[in-house]
Amino acid sequence: MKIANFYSIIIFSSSFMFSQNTSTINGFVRDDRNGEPISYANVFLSNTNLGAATNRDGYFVISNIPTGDYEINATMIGYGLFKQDINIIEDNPVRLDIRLIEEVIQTSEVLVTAERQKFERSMESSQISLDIREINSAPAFIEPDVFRTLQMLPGVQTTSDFSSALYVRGSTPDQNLIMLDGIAVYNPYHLGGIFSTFNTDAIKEADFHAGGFPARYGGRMGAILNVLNREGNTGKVKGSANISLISSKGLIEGPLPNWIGMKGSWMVSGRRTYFDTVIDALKIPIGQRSDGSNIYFQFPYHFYDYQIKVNLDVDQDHRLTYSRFYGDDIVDFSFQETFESSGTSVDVESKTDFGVKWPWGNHTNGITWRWIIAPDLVAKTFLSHSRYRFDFELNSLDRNTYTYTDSTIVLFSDITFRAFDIIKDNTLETELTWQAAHNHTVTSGFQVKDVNFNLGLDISFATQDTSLDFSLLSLVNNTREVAFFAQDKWDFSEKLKFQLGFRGTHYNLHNKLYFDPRLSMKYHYSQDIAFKLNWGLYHQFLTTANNQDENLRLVELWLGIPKDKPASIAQHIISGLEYMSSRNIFYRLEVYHKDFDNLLTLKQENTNTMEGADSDSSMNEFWDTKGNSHGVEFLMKKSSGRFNGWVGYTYARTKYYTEPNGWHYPNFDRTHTLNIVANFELSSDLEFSTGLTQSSGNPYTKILGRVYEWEQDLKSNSTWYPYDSYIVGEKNTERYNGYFRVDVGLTRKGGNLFGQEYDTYWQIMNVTQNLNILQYTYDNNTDPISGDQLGVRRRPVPMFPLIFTFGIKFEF
Amino acid sequence: MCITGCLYPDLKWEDLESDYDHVLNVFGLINIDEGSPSYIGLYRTTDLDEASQNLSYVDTLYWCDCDNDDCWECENDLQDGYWVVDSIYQPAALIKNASVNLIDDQGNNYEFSYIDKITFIDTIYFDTTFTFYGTTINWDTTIYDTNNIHINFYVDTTGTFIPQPETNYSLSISAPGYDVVSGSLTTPAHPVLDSLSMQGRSVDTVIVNEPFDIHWTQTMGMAMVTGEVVFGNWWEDTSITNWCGGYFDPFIIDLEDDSESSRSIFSEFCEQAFEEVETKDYLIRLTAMDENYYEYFVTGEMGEYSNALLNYPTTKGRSIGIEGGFGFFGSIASDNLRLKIRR
Repeated sequence: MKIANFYSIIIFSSSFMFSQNTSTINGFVRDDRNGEPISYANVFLSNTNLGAATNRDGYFVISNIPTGDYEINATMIGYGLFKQDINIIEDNPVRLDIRLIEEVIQTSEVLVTAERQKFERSMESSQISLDIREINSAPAFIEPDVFRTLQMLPGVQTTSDFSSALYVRGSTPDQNLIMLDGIAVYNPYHLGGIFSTFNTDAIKEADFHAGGFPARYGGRMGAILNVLNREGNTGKVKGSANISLISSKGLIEGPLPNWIGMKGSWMVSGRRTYFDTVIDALKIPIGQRSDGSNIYFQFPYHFYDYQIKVNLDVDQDHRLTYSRFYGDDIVDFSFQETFESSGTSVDVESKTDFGVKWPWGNHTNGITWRWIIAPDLVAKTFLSHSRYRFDFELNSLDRNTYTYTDSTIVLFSDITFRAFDIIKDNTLETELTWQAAHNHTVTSGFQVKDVNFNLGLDISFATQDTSLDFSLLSLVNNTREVAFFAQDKWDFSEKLKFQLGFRGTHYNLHNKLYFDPRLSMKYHYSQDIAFKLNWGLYHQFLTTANNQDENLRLVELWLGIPKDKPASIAQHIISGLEYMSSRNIFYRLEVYHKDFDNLLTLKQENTNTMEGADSDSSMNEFWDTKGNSHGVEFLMKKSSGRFNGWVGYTYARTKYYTEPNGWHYPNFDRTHTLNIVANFELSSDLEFSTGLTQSSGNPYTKILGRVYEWEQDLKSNSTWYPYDSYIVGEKNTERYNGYFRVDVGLTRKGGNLFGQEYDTYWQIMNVTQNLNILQYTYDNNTDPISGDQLGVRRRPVPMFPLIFTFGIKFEF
Repeated sequence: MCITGCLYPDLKWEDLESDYDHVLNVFGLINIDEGSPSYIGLYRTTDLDEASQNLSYVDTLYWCDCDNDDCWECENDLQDGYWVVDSIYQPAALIKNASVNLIDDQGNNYEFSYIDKITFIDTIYFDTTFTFYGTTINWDTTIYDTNNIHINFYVDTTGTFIPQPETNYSLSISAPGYDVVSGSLTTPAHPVLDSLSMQGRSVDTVIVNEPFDIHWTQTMGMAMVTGEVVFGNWWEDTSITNWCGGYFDPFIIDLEDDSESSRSIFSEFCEQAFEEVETKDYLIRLTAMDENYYEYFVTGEMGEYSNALLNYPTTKGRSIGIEGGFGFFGSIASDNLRLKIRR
């Protein structure tokens, strides 16, 4: 308590000392073309050391400016220099909204890039922001994908080409908080993880914390990804369309009409796959019904997503933002057939109606109210609803109608099977950012998060005289996390900076308060070299119930941490050295160690288990798990110029401990990973990009030999059948061959078709056609004549082969 | 727009080798039902590069006439039919030279001996009349069919081993080159299946598509309840006879649970309409099992390493009721009700 009081005195006395005969300048820096805020722009007063960088909203505040005349400058690479004379009068804050004009040729005065601003301002280790140009710079699988680009960063691993899920420094994807405009998204993947649900056309920036994230983020213990959508053009209506192999997508944006002095912008983007509609239109016959009509091949799958964002500036201090994201994958298949027969005494009509409906995806809605209470005090209140739904329903109806001369008998059986996992997340959050003094920025707030988890398996069965409903599994959790947090970014001196924070979370199922202290320190050895240190505790209150060994994960099944299990916890310790060269090439070397405890690993399903046995359901049975990970990461990143990209190297070791397997490597562990992403501007209208990944192989469990096991058949003549089973060794002690993949892409800009400008892009994935092994499949070698079961053989199941794709993008 | 996915050229199978220290693999069963054999199957684990099952013999089952719709292997209209045969395979890793002993809690020692087959002769009597190219033939003959059933088990060949309920038995197996395997179990009590009722009345005939209740007496341990329609010919099953109705999933009960001494059965619903009443034998069976048998066949094994693409089950090797090797040593006892099922 004494320490807290002492700390408060320092902040307030500092504030007092610098508040005499001074005033402030605050405002926003925006792109003049479309009104999008520009983050990390440098705003400074000539011939002083007073200045600030814009935050993610483009907002800046320069406090404690002595009265007098100044020249204010705003710079950002790619934009012309902004200059304006300004007079500062005591206690008369100046509000300045700056528009920067895009400029291809850089002036010599522009020396500060966004990368340098990030380098100078950022306190957190392991944090990186990717703008849309960087997201698009890596060759992608059919379409640019923010998750695929993030997988190329150091510290991020994956299990296979088929998954865009992020395994970050030993943390599984469920430990990552994925947000779209601040709203949590639970399963942000299409097509079982091959694509992420975020349409890059709508993205402005992706902010990624691989670890050591500050107290304002909580509830997860792995990484943070906040994807920010564009705000929409404030000047005029514009749009773009993109046609790729699997989908078409479009974006349209524009200003809101002025209404009683209020102004704003809007943005709508959407995407849909079209294999299903194309194949249905082709009407490919695959058989005939009993009535002679054709049965056509159906492609019963598609996905779609759309995003809406509306910004309304009520006045210069109040902004309301509405953000919506809807994305679903849908399998919809049905089959009907009717058969009729006429007998001597009865006519029979037999109808079959079979259908599968399986939607899964996310719906989010959020409203944010930003209130600039004072130039140095900004409040953001945030109300959101996020729903993830996985809902598989199979219905089979057989209906037989027997028509006799004097009566009709109807016999039917109607079976419905439903498996579902539905999560409803309602969050209210307020965040206050206070420039308490020239060297203190205090951020505090609270968050109330209600999450309803509903995981179930239902079967219903009905006949003409019987109706039965069974619920084989029903796991319903209503969790509430009430969290409060505070953090202070304290510039102790020009060279030494701290960020001290804590987060307290009350979890209703445990009726317990969890306390997470967070600490960051940054020491600028010189203008170009900084040393960083981060430490923190991170609690998590949810988990997923998926098979730990599966390589293809279609969906994630989420659960709140049960009442009888403690909250999962991780400790992050990160140390890093950063260097920004005079050519604005960013270098970062980081060492990290993470400890995990109270993780939950789903018990694998029992074999031979019968209904009524002690352990016939494993959907809610877990092994208590602990673990640790450590590693070294190196990043060299060049963000500007005709040749840009990054090189990342990761050395990582992750181990988990469960009772049956002891300490073992999880299946995503890759020891060495080298990633190279490069983008060359060959000419004004031609760009070449390439991505290379070389890594150690993922672990797997070795097969040692075979043993007979038996199945029973207890009938009148009881029999027991032997079958071959493979004896496995220690878990995940073998590794697949190393992974290697090179992708290349070429973009040609400035095409013209009937006056419409367009870009075309071509991409080749795995250009060397390297065989990367997803896993082995096994088989007994069988003698074709005798049928003798000979030795065991295996064959690799490959990841992506060589794939060539191309697409067209229009702008209007 | 186009896509070219150049798939990998013909991924090759790779033969695997292993260097594994083998252990004995035991299938030990004591069946206390009268007339049901108790036996010990003895094998060893196998390497990845050796055979696990060899063809033992081919058993001729029956002639399948192409006029019968069920004989779907007929290739053309000219084909009269074909013989249906069954290839019998036996484990390649049989251990035939072991010393296998069972000792009961009275100290009586029973030495089990290895036998590879039992022989019995089927006697089939034909008395039929048929016409062949205009000639009526009366055929009255007896066919003797010699059958060798390869069992490859260790059994009591002296006739002295008569297993008793609620009795402790110890197993000892010594085989040259392998660790000694020992085991123990306590046989279950004889279960008692009381009756079968419909709408509260005890019945001896089950009506297809109508629910019924199975009643039993509380005794000890766990048990499994099964039901089957008995066709009389062992090779027939529901797919051949087009019989439907009466099937229900086997289920597990706790014979010591005072709260449950009966269960309602909603057997498989039969959609077909039947023009004639048809009746078959219907067997309800209650099989009590000792702890070892229950753990091996009912509880099962926690999956060790599994996913959809692996193609085969895996295990770390289970030792249920035995030590020194893999496998299990268990015991069962059963009671049954033989009824009729009508549709």
